[in-house]
Amino acid sequence: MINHALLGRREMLRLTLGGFGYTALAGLSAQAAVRESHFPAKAKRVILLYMQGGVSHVDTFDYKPRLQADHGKAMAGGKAAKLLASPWKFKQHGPSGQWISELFPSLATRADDLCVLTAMHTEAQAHETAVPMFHTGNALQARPSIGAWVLYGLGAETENLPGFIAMNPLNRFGGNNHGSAFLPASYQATLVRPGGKELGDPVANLKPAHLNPEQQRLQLDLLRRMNSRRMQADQVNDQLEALIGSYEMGFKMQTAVPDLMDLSRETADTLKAYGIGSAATDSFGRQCLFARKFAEAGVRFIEIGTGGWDHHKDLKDEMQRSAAAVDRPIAGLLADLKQRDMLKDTLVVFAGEFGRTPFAQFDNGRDHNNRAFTVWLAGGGTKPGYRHGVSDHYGSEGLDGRVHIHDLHATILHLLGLDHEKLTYRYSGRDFRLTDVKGNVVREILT
Amino acid sequence: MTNCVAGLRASSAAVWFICLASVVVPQVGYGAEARDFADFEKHIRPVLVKHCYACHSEKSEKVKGGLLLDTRAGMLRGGDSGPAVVPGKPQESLLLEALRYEGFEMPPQGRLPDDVVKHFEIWIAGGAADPRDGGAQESKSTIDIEAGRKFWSFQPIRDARPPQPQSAGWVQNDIDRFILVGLEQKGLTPVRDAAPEQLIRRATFDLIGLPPTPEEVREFLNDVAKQSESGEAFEKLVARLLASPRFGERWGRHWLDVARYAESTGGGHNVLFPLAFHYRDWVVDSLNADKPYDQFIREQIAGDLLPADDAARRNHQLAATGFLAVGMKDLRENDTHRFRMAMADEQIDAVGRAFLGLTLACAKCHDHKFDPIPTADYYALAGIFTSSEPMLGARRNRQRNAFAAGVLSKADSSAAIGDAEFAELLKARVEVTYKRLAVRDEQWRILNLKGLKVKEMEKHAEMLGTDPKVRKLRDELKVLEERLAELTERYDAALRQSMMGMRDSNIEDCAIHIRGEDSQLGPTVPRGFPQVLVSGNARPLPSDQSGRLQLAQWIADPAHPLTARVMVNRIWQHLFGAGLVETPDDFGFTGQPPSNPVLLDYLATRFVAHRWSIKKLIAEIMQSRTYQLGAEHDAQAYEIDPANRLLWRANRRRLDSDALFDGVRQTSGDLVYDRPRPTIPLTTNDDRVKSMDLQAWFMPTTRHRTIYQPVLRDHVPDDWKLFDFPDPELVTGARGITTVPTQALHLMNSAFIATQSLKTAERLVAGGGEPRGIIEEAYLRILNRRPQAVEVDDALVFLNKFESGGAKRENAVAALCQSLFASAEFLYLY
Repeated sequence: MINHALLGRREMLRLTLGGFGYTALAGLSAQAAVRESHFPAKAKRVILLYMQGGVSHVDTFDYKPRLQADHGKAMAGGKAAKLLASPWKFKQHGPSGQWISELFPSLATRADDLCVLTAMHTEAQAHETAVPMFHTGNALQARPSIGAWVLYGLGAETENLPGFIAMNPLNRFGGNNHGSAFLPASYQATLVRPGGKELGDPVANLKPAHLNPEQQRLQLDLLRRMNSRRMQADQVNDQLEALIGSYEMGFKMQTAVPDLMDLSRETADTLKAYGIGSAATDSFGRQCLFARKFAEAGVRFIEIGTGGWDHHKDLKDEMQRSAAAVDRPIAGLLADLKQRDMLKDTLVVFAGEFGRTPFAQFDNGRDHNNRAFTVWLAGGGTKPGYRHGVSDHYGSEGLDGRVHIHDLHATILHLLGLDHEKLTYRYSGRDFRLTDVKGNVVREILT
Repeated sequence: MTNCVAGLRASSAAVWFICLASVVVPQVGYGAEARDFADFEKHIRPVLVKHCYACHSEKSEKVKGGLLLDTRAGMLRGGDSGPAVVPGKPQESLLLEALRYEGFEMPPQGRLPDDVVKHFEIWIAGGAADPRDGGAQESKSTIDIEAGRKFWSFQPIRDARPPQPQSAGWVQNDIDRFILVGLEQKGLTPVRDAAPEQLIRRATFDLIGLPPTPEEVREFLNDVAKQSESGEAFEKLVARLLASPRFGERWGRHWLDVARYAESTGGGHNVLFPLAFHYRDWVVDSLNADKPYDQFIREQIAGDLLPADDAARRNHQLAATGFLAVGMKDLRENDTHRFRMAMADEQIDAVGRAFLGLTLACAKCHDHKFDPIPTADYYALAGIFTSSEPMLGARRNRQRNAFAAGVLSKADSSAAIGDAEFAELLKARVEVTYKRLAVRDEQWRILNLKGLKVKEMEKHAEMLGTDPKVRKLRDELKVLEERLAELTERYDAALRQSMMGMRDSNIEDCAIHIRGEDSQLGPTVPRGFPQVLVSGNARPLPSDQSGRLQLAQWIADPAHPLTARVMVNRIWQHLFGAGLVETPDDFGFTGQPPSNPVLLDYLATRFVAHRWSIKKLIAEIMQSRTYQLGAEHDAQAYEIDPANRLLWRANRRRLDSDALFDGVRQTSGDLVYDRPRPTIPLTTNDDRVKSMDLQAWFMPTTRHRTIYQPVLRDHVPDDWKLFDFPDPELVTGARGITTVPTQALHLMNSAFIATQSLKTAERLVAGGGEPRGIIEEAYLRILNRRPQAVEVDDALVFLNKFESGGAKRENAVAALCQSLFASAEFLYLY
């Protein structure tokens, strides 16, 4: 008789003859091992709500009465362009008194959860540089995505799901926004499509088109026997163990991912809270709900996103539409996280690659502004109902409490218990960091 | 390589004090009494002592940024970035800039209080009176070239005599002596030799990147059975594989990893390199022809400067310089100087890593942190490359970097593209762009006026056309567009007669760019080579040549300590899975030392002696008994050397993405062996990758070997990336090897594996025959060996069950084949 308690994983693998999927194995891929953080963490995971295009801060979270008053006037400094007042009214919300415009009526009810950074800045002025800058800390060269760094630093808690998921990624601006670059490939994002059946598998190659479940079962059992025989011959083979582990995880993902993304078991109230089912909010609502479910399942870094924030023209109509598509879903997400007591250790980040100018472009639009924009955080050890940084009276430049992308990265890592100066990876002769040689943790916003 | 982590703040943080001085601030005007030293003593010196001296005084353990602040002269002289203090001019004083955290951020621990900074401003404005004397010390350079020369890889290659192991009977050739001695020193013995089936699979994948066919396996087994002398059959096999045209495709792919080969610029705009394929083909052809490696180097660095007897030879050599041109470019950079410096940097990096195993580009902003490469050496090399210009054939290249669109005309072509032709094309393109904008702006203006949505411009096209101004603009646009089309067509025709590569341009030495900044130039450095690798006095490079030819000759010199070592290590790595030096692109201080330095030198010596023949060296290594070892486990050896650095057995190596995809396709009969050319059709005016229909571009080549499929930066096929195809931005001597569930899903479920398995099955079933025979043939085709009885039985049961579910024979066999493809034995070389 075999005493299982005395057997190592390796021996178990050699001797277990159960069906595929039943061997007592954790996924052995490099990502699987949970690693200790540098110091105790407030946040365990991150949900990044990426608003590609650059959200206009002066129309949303950074209220500028002077801009309203000076509408139509020329900017100081000889700029020909005329100031454009926000077409939307601002109000203070909640005991914290956060200024939020009427573009976000639902989110405004969560004002006391938000930690708003109003003096963000970045060097990159075009999407092609600013999007990779935001995601990787480098505007030009291929670098690992922040999600890859986080997974590298902390490992994954999941056994049947990847640790870094990017949903609806917008890859027009460099293919490397969710990649691992020089980090091992196991840290790259697994791309997940939020669509539903008609849009194909949520994960590439998730389902066989050529085999029914029973046939696949037979086939994978055959494969397992082949690999077990090989393992017996090899006696010791870490790579083969990892390979067998990867088939185990792949097999589990086949059901775990669709199960998790099956919304049929959600209550009508939940769907409604996320805006799922209403035409305007359905798409982003699904992403938000999936993000919560992935977070709950232990996925370390989840990016969801939507494009269309590049409002050079038709600002009034288009931005209304962009905001309406995300307002309710985000409010739903925050409420849901809070209700499940997950907001305390889930860091939610709402950001685009830059902000927009206070002056008009084509009468009814705004150009890119990299010198001042707004990012807000919620949960995960950030001060709730807090506001950090001040931009000038038109919102064209940060004045005080300026936060660079590197600083934001350093802060996100800090919240996760990682020291951005210590999270390094040696590649081609030197140590690389997400924050390069820069970055300061914004301590003022930490609880 | 622009930014390096080992910067000031990261490393010096520990020595800064956190506590900040609290200073009472009197409101003082500029100038006036500041000449008094009292001001310095009261407000300046204490701060310097407390916050700066740790890193910026003669007593500092390591002086940062070359800046000494402990004497007046040192302050005025400044550091790498220039004077720290300019008396009377606060705005020009870097010290103040740093204290204000604009640019540098000093002290790194935290910005000093405003009042403290204010005092510095007042003091500088008032003339920066400073009683401290003592000369400005040259900051201590951390680089000692003489000491650096003692590093193992900078030492001359020693002609190592093969040692005498105790069990000399095991030895097949001299390589084995080095290995066996290493094993014997640890009390280890090698495992048994590989089985013949194992050996032919290993050798075939290693040399041509494809599996052996069943016929080839049978022939080899026959040869082994009847060979009169041990090794005869294997020798014949190796000779056949080395002579195969597939050899250059496999080893060419290895080299293209090193050459960071891609067919687009990458970066913003990501524009096609429509002529890059000439270089790719040059690599394949050169390796097939067993071009001596020294020649292989010379052509890539200076092919345009080498003599050529005829046009074909000349064209061949021009194509080779594609090596220098195919690197990543950022065409958003409109500043020509910066663009060229970035390109030179990329080229120094590629040449350094590829041929010398040195991270030379790390010396761009500061002396190399680890290797004895001062910044001056970097700019000596940079001058060579900035005295040359790239001819990229990258068309969508607006404004000032027009030269990037130039091409090298083939020697036998009259269809030249000169600067004038390109300028004309460029002008036409710019005119079209501006006219389009004019049309758009006018239309938007009208729409805004009418309160219509700009977004719906298309919908209102007709209405807008009734406006006379719009109509006029549209007509003008049409004329310009037609002209552009005509010019483009002419340009494309000429492009087909052209090459991508390098040529000499204005010959000029390069100035040191302090901290890599083009705004801060230091002294000009004569073009030349890294001092640590040059003995005696370096001869100056000719003033009428870039120096690329001399650089090429210097690298390809048999006496160069790095060149042969780096290449034999690459070859060894491709045959064993790991190099003797495990960091193939870094033979510097941060690289790994060789596991068997004597063997490395022995191989390097042999390589040079055999006139740099890559094929001879490969054959010699493969004839060793070490190469032919089995991959089995040995508990004792594993205990002592689990990583198998001493080679007591063969490594189990995973197929890389190319071998995997090509191997599966060959097995299914799907693989097309021709070379498609050109890879990239020239059919579009806008050659930004994002404007391409990538599907249409990739499709015609998908059945070809992967080396002949397009590699576009940022658009490497997902399947390849999944199996660790390298990012073509940097020199990659050793690919990553990951095992992730998404790979498993690919092998379980992808359309690729399903289709290929079915094709394989159809061939097997088409032969008719009983399941038993089909199973045997499937094993032979996919795993290149006969199955054992237990495996046949297992597969029979499987087919039975599968078919009893109602599946057709070929689908059942396809499922079997897929399991074989997905098995460790297929995915790994044993």
